[in-house]
Amino acid sequence: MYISLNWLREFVDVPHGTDAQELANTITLHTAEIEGYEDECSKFANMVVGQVKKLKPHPNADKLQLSETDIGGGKIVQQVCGGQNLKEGMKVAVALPGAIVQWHGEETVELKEAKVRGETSVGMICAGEEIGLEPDNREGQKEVHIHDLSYVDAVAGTPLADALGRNDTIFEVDNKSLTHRPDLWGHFGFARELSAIFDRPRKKIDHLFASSLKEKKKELLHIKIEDAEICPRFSTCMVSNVKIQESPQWIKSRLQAIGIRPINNIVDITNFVMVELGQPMHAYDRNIVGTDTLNVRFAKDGETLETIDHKKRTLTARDPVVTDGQKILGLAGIMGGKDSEISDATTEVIFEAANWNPIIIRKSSTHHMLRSDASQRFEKGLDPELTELAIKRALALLQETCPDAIITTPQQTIGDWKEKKIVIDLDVDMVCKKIGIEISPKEIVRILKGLEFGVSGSGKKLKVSVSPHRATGDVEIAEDLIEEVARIYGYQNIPSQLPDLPIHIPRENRTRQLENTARDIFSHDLGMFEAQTYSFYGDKEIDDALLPKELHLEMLNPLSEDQKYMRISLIPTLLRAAHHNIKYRDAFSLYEIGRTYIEDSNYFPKEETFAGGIFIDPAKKGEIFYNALGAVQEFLARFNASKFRVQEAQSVPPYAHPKKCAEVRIGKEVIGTLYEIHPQVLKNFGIEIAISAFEINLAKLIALDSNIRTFHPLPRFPGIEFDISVLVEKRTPVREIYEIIRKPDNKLLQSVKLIDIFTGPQLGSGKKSFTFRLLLQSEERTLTDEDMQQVQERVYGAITSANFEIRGR
Amino acid sequence: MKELLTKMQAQALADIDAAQTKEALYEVHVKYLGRKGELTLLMRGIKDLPKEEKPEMGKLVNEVKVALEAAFEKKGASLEREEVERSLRDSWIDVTAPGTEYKTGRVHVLNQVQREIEEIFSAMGFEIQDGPEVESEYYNFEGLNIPEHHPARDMQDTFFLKRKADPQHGRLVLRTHTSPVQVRTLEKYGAPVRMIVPGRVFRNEAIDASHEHTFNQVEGMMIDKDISIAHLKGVMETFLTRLFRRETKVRFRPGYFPFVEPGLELDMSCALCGGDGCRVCKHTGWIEFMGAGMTHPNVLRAGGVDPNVYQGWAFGFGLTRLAMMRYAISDIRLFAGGDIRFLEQF
Repeated sequence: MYISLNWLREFVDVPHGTDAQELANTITLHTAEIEGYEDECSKFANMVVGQVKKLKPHPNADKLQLSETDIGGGKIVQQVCGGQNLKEGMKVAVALPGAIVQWHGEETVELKEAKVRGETSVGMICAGEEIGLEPDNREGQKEVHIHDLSYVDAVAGTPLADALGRNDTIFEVDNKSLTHRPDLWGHFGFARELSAIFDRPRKKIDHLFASSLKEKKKELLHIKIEDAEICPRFSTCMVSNVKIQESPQWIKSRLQAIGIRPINNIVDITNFVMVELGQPMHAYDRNIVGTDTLNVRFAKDGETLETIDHKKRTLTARDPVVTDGQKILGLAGIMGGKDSEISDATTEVIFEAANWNPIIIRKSSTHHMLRSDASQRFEKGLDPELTELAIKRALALLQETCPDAIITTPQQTIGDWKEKKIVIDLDVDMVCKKIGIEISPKEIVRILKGLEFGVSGSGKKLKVSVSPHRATGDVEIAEDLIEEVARIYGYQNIPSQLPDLPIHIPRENRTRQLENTARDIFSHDLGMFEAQTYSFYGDKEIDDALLPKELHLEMLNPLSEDQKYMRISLIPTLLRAAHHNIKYRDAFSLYEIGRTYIEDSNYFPKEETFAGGIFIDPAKKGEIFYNALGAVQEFLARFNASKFRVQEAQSVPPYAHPKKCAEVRIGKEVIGTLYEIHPQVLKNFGIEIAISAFEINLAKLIALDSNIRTFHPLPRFPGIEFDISVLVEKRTPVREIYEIIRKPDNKLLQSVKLIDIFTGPQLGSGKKSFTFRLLLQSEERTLTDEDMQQVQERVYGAITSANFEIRGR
Repeated sequence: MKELLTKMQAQALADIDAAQTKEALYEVHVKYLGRKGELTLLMRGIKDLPKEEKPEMGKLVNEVKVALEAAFEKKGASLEREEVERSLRDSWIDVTAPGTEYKTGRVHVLNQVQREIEEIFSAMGFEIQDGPEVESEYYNFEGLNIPEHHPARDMQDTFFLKRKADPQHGRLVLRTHTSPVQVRTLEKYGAPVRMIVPGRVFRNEAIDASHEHTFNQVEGMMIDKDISIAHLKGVMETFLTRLFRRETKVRFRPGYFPFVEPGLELDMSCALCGGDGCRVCKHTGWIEFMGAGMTHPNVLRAGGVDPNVYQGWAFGFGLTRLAMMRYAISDIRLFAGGDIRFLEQF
């Protein structure tokens, strides 16, 4: 919303000489955020009204003329000008050297004294578009026109800003910061604030609401509020003998200054009142209403209306409408109907200023996706007292544009509204305790009175009555008043202070700590990159990853089709990230620690924190599975989950390779799975290289967290190592042989490690060879060859009796 | 024989001195002290001497031997030193060649910053809380004093899930802020409480370089018997000063959030220019940082805490935005893009 400083000055003496930046800052710090401002004076700097004294052709150019222009103070200067409409005696806008113009309405240029085709030009004579006024030239137009200033009542030399009445400062208010302040949706409200901030009384404004239009009483309008909840208060009046025309320049300038396009005198009046008082209005053509009836009700399902934005809308039983008893005239408080709009032929006008139920307006405007200046105000909940003031103000303005208009129906107001008396007990000590600084009762009273609250009571116990313009839901409890005191007192005056509280150790969040430990392991120990991917994906990911749709929570209003379902696994989005990175590097691994969301019989879905990882390494032909396995093993060991077991998966995720999938158990609990990605899934994701992955249920792992480590003494005696190679079938798992080696009771056997898997033609087809390295060690003595032989024999015996062949024995 | 011994000693010392390499020195050692060395032979000859000469000669020969061994040792050490020096003289390495490549990974930048924030607040006695990302309308809105059809709901375009509404909880939504954890924590632990809640939140808005539908926030709350706005200023200045490792000031402006009253917008002095004005702070010296305010009595009540006894404040700031500012990241979409070229920079 835009606020004009000149307009504010109608209501309050804003100290002169305060610069715009400072003023914007003051409003921002005390009331609402000013997003920016525009100082018109600086925009029109170095521009004056000039009068063309003499015109002669340019000696070196057919289309240019030389103008001798009076720029005031007895100075006549020469400009080169291409304007075809230039005439001697004409008043023009002259931009002198130093002025900043939009050259041909486009490029921003600071003017200097220049020569144009050999002739001196002191600045330039401007077209409207070059100085931010209504354009005089349109694209493709052949002749160049300059801006004819004949309409201004100013002599040559007058600064252009003054001549045009454009010496204003316009502030742009952040609408969001007015969400709770319906009283600030017009200039009048801001004037109240400035009066409090600067501690200056408001000006008397009674004259703004007085008109001396003739009254010729006719019949009353028939106003009826059928559905009382829609409209607490409804004010109207009717005028005749109206001539639809342009508004006077001052009204147009005011509206233009804050970004409202003037339409005609009646529409302009309704807009003017809205931005001045904050009360939106509507004007109907009486001839179209016809019945002299205004009826407020809910629409019936299926009724239709074409609004003035030329959209045909189908209404529902929750849409508030105004009818003439027969046809619908408009969507109440949101937008008028096309048919009852003011036209050039209108001679009789019904003004409406009503107070609408904010929730009903909000629902309806949301439903129709129609936010208007009016609905934006009504949905905040306006002060119902404004309706009568608005009608009065409209009539006063009408007198300016149509002095001959006749009031045929004087103001009528109906509705259930009764002034709500809000009185709040305010304890000065509580004010100080919440703000954190001592403020005297006197100062508090001064601030509240400045904001037009009524204050009584004595000492530290105050009784504060809330005036209607703040009793709109904004100020109801003591805390609301504390805000008023604090912001006017100035937040900048509140000291910075640390609480004086006893030492206390915060409750531990073990889950978060362990998540961070997991990150350290994955990133710093295992060299993986942590990604964060979206929590949702679409049908495509579900199909591509062969996932079942059922388990997914679906969004009601997704941003797009590819963000419709809450993820039940981190893998699809990680695969998408993998696909992206493959373009840039050969080997990498990514992981994410994030939540999955699974539809559940409870109200809240099951949210669990998973760690998911993926591995890509072209060098690991066919063996990429082991990258995931190694990472999981290292992770679990580092994570102190020592007693885990990897085995063939009993349940394989749909996107996993059914034959290359394992699960990790701790005790009976499956805490993770690891696998190669299903080749079909890789294809679906456009990935041409094998990927392995893991998913670890961190929530479960954390629940098993033990955090106990026991020290193992370092060996005191040297150990003996020896290797055994065993010939096995291609599909014999390592664990089978490992368990055979471990089977005999060998106290001396400290560790058995697989150090090589060998395949080769000499082994015969379908065979492979495992080589294990065994470490023997005693805590009591140095071992002898005899010890080694004993162990060897037992191990050899176990292997051969299990019908495996020992190679190279 | 004595004469012979003296001559031999002189010759041996000259030979030791003349040796240029360890090998040559070894040769000299063999020549005199080897199994068939001159001195060794001489020593063996002592047994053939007349009895009365034996002791004297024995002593003399031994003295020569000791002297020669000492000379060998000295020369040997000196040759070794020379050898090291020579090898140093001949050495060269290309220090401009690349170092051995180690495969290291990175923690996501948001989690790095989050951990820093958690550490600073933990040191001030704040606990780290969390709550569900799929939240009920009750906790996301009503419990925070935002009734249905309140215009404040516009400030947070909400994702709803396709689920029937529950009479008590309303519909399921993706939490639009971390604030629901305020009521959840109060319900669970009551007051007093000091906590922060870093977490992922969602807004239904179209994405571009500066808007994301998914981002991270940090909620904070401090409730005790006399916690004031002045304390919010103090705690936030302490936090930001530590985070940016430079003196940081904050200022308040009026702001509106239904779950606080008074409501505040908090600006911080520009971390880049320190408040002098620069491009980052649009020459104002201040950067919009977060919304905050004194916790609304209705929120305390929703959490089962008596607002006549307890008071305090809450705040919420954008962790993602903070990371963008700190590292001058110009496109918010990079955070969820999973591009390693981005991830490896932090």
